[in-house]
Amino acid sequence: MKMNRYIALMLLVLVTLVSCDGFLDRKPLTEPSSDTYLSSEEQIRSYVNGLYMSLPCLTQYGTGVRSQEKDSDNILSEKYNPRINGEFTSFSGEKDWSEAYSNLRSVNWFFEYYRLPESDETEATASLRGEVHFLRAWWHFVLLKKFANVPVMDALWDGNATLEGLQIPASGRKDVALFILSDLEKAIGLLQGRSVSSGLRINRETALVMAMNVALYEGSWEKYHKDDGFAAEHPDPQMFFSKVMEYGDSLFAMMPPDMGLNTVETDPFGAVDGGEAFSHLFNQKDYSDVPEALFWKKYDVSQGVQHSLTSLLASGTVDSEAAAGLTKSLVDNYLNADGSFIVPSDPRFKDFNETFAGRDRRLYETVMSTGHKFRSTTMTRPMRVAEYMYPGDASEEEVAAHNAAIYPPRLGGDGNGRNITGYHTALGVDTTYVSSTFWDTGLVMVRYAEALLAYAEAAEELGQCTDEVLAKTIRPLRERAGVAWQTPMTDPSFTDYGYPLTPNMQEIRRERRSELALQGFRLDDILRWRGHEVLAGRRGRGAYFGNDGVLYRSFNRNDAAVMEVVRNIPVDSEGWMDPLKDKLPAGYGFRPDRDYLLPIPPDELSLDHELKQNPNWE
Amino acid sequence: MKKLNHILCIFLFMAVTATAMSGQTADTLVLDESIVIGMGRQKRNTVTAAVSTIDSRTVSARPVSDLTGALQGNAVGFNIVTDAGSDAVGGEPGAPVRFNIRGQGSVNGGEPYVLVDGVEQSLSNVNVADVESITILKDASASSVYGARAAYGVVLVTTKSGTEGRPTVNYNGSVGFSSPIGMPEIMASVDFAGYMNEMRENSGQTPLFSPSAIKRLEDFASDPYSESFPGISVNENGDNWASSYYNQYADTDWFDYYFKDYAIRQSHNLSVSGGTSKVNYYVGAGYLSQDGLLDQVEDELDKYHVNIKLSALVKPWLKMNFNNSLTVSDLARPLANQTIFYALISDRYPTQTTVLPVDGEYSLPSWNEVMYLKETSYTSVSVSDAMSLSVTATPLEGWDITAEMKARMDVQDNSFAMGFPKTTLPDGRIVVTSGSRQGYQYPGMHWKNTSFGSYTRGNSSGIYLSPNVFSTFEAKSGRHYFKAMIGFQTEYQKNSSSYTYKDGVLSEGVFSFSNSDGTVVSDELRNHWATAGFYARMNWNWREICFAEISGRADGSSRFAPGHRWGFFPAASVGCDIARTERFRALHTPFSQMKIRLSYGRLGNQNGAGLYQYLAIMPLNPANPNAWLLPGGTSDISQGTVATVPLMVSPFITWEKVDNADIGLDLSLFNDRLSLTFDAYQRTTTDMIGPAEALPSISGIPSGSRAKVNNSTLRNRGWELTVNWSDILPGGFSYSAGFNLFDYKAVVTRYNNPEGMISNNHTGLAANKGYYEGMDLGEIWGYEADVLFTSGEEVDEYLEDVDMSFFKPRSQWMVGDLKFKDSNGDGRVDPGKGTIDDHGDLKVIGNATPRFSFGINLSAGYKGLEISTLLQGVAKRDFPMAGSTYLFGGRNYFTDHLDHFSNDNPSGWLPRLTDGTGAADTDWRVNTGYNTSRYLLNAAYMRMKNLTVSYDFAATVLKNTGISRLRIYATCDNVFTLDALPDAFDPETLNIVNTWAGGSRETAPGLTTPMVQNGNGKVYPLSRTFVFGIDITF
Repeated sequence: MKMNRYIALMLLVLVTLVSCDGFLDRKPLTEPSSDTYLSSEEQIRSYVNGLYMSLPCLTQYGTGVRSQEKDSDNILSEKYNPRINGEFTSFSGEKDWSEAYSNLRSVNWFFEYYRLPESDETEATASLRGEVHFLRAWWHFVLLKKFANVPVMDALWDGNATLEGLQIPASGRKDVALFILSDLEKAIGLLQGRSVSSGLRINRETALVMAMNVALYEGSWEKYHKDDGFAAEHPDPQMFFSKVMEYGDSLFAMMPPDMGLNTVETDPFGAVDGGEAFSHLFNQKDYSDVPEALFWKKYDVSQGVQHSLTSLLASGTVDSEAAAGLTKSLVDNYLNADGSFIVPSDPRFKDFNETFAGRDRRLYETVMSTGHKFRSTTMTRPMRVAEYMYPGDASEEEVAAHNAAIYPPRLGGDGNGRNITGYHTALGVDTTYVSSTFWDTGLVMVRYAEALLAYAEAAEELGQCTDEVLAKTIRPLRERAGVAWQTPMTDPSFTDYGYPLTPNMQEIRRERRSELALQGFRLDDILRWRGHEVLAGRRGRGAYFGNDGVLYRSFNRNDAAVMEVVRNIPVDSEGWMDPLKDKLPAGYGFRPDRDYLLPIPPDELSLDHELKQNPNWE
Repeated sequence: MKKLNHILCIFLFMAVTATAMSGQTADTLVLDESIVIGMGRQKRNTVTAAVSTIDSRTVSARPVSDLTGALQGNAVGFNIVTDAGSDAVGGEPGAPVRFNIRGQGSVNGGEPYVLVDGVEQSLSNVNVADVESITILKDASASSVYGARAAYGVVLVTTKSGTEGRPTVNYNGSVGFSSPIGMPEIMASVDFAGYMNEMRENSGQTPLFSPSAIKRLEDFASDPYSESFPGISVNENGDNWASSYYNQYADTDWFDYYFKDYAIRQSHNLSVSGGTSKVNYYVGAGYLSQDGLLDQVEDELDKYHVNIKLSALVKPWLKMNFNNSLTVSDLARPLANQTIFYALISDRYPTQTTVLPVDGEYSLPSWNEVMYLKETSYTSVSVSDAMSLSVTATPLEGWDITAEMKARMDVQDNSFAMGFPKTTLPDGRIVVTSGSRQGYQYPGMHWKNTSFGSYTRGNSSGIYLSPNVFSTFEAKSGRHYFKAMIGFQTEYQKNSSSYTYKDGVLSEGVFSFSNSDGTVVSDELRNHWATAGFYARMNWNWREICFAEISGRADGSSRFAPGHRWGFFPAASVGCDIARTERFRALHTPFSQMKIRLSYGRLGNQNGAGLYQYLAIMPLNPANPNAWLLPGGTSDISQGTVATVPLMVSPFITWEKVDNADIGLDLSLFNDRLSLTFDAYQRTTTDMIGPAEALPSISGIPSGSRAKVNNSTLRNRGWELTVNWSDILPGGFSYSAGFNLFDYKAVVTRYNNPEGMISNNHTGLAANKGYYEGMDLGEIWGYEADVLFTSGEEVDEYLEDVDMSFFKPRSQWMVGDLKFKDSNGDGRVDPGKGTIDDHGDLKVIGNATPRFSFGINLSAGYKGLEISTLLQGVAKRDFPMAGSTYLFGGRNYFTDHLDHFSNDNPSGWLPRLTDGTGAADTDWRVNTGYNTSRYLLNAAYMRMKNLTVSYDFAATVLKNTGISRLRIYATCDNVFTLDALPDAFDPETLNIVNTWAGGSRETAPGLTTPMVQNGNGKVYPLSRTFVFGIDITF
């Protein structure tokens, strides 16, 4: 009897042993397999939607793209950009490099694991595939701009992810550019038009504009850098410029120019003039009905998709990293409303308010001036620069009322809301915003106006910039901004790029800077134009702050605390604000023989022996 | 010299012998007591493995809420890991305490396996009052039978059980209080104003505080919060309070404001035990209440324990044991994870007020975190029930068959409520805060998806089952003793958790889903794993003089793919107690034991592998806060569920092999009054899984996502020494002294990094992401820089010879900056190529691994009165503070920071003040962002962990009272600390990384990259706990 028990026990043990390996099979309970995931439209969309997250946009904190141009001559910041001051070290490219390749892997993973049979492919799924081609082009363009000659990641490399397998040489920059364009051409063939997604998804028009930008970038780089250490092998700028025009023509065919721009006639938000129509491209929540906003990102506080740019702009912040301000050089770029260019030395510009009078409307919409709101006036008064009145100047009530309405730029105080040039950012200020840290003003990522500017520039480079071309590109932009059209003439005080420009080119570059200011284009333009003269050895100025100017006089000279601040504001010998004069006595230390490109990370060079370092980064 | 040594030795020996002769025989036979070992008990003198034991007396009176804390310093080789716990918070009630045995085993981690009465369980679920003994198994031979999860040591906790005889009732209760220790001292606001002005001046900015503002600060100090100096005024628009700190002029010590001076704690334990010859029982119940140190808000932990043990001799050949251990803990505090709060406290400005000059219903200012914390409430009730039923049949004398079923259920029920914080404006209007706030969310949710006026409920459950069947056979044949065991065990664990969130709370004060009308968010998590193992062990001894043991286990784990799943892990040990041989006895030495032990064995570690890493899994996230609002298909414009790129699949990973070799010596002398144990060991983990080899970034695969392979080796060598002396003198005076000391060093001996890339934080190179062959774990790469520039000429002269443009342009170097040494003499200071062959001026300047950890136990007693103490410490440790705001100013304003370089104070320790609040501040980064020899801290310390005074009433006094034993005691934890750290740091929480303040667990202990401020030290303070207790037995 006892024996039976033991036998039963032994049997139990035996059964356990046999079932053991099955017992150890523990598959995930909540996640599907990735091998077959990309096999339906919904699944594909969920993955592609995930890829959007790496695109640069306004994030939780910070001024994002609105302060990016402190890497150029448009913004001065007490925490200036170290790259344009030649402060980068050979390790400074690390993050940009690895992020771009990491994003490229995600993109290529899609192509490797795309499992939808061709027969099941619909217009919608094809368009999603097009978005991925667009994104692969996007990340290669980032690499092209920063590092030039780079390995092209045209497939998923997980299969040979060993040290040996990754000894991959860089492609020449021209080949990289051609690869980007070929991806974009595929995208253009697959993507749906803007109207299908109201511009919320990557679309065909967007891809065309991107292709124009890439071709223009490479074309001008190959032209202007043909004699320096950054030259492409076998440069062919003409070919790239022609491509810009080809892409442009197909875009114009899809979207006639008079339909593309957001004007007072088309503006869905009820703009009273062209200037306001322009400003609405930056301070509205919903761009579905604005065709000029080809591709934009929607924010919604109630869903936690939010940013703090609006609240930062409302507090006068130009750069969330430090006290900053827009430059005089940017302000001087804008024409008079009659189409004539300004003479920066004209004494009228010593008057803060006069500076804005009778100018291109985009100046008023980009730079904060008297009368412009920071946000809803229930919280903060509009800016108002006026001479401070003292007892005896008028009746006591008048003096009090007058002074109470004065709201000069925030030149004093602490923190990043303090302005160091007198010029706060107006672009993107939402006057309906009251308070709360986060807000949901939309962000336009790609705009139709870029196409017009690229087209005109390529045409001029090719010698084909006829009056007809100008009439359909630069002129409508100018006219929207309330500037009368005048035939281009040489402006003696125009920004010096270190070489002469044709009057047409000068106006195209001026227009580009005016129209695209504070949207993240300026450094790229300076680099591709070989425009280091704009930066190297220079530093920007701000508004006039001599004690004969109204800006200076808007402060109460009887208030000791205020005067302490005012006295300490650095100005140059002529009385213009010169905030970085102590920090950068010799101007930016941009090194033209080196700083056009970022260094390839040293560990990357040690691990991939096929790579070569960019010029003058030992 | 040698002679002198000799003489000294002899003298010492004679002295000790003389003392021994005069003493009496110790009344317990220590060597014969049976101790708990892997799946059984064994007489201490026959053990051949490396084992430490701790008895209940050592821990029972300690005022700790987690047993782990009581083991520190009491067991050699036992380390509390204060480093970089995931969102660790220091001394917060209920905070998990992590530990390891003999140091870090694998670069992938691997924690000791804890068994409480045979069931895997967290030490924090053990009622200290129920503990009978604790055994720590340290080498492979000891833990071999536990297999799969025992590679890095096993802790066996045995609770009390009933014994045959009269039932006894015991009550053990204590009451006392805790006070925070190591609190930083905040600058007075006048000092703060000067500090800020100096910082801004150094950064080329205008002063912030004008002379008139400083005057106001001084006036406030003389007449605080008065009508004339309320500390704050209305802003210039007249619509709100002046919110910027430089427009306020109070003088607030925020640490004093947020933390209490003391918090009450109490514990009560009652147990009943007894038994007959056939049945015995033990039932213990305990209650612990610990108030937290946070002031103004709810912060409390209550714990309840019920422990039941029954054993019965059902039939003469059948024995049954049943244990059930229930722990309920009830935690209440404002937020689930308060790291953000601890990060924020230390950068509050002393000029900000804590009260507003209005009598509103709500008048806390918005910069006062209590405004938000008061309106939020997190509660977590967790229930853990561990039980085991074991039945042992004894078919023949010496042959046992045991079948056990062990089970544990962990259930948690949590809620998180967020009300509407309010402030009163100067005109009496009340402003209600809406939207979300960083740090305010239910665990697992993202704060962006959580808004004020919401309610979240969540549950989790874990089920653990582990059947175990084994059979032992014991036999004696002449002078030989044999014991053999064979068995089979499996483990299965299933976890699930979920939460539901709803916002739009309708009426205030009531939090429920029905009282809300807003967005619903919900998510879940489920997983499971299993292991299985066959094991066998054989013991032999000859007259208890020579011993041998051989054991092995075959283990399978669900973490590995079929074909890579099973591993076989054998172990063996031998020992010999020379003192018991007749020849030795004949010498009449004072030795009662002189045992030499040798063991060698291999164990498997599976911790390097994630649960499902061999499978291709699609990462899906239904609530990714970074997802865009996108249209598509039929859905509205929404974030939806996003899929992200999968990690690489690791199909080939298998067990890491942990080879342990241990040589040990056990000595007992003078009637066992003196005992000494010494162990030296080597633990080599081969086939260690990843972390991934160094690959170029063009792979596009972040190092954490790469396919893992078993490709590296870590070697850990160490030694341990324990010496104990205890004696009772003829007059009834007893005393004892114990000392333990251990040390180890772990070196990476194989790693796939052929280019020798160095990745170390705060060097200018990539942050910790890889290893190289020959790397000491914890090593700190940095620059030699011992002094600050003290004159302009010195700067100019130095820059003539040395190029320091790697740090910043030549024009920016100034007096008060760090003078970096050109260590390799190449005329420039830089990290070279960042490889072993060319590391420029970088060198290893220290090591953050604790070395020479020690514990000292001292006690003395006379007629029932006893005083005892425990000292614990680390004799050698370096700690890099680079990038830390906490030490280097930036955003912390402690009196410590006043000791900085300035023209008035050229010998200041800290560099010249610069503004560290932005990401791109070069000056601040150069002086404080790199590891340098000047700012390498000495983190060695010694702490009096405990001091206890107790009195046992004599039996004669208790006669006729019905009380058989009565003991009263007073005990204090964390009495004092000796260290060389700056005041604001505690050596035990030094390296806790505050993720909210920019720290990251991955990059600890080097913390983050030079560019980012990091948050080490931003923690809940540890406390000094003082309690009175009574222990009474009827």
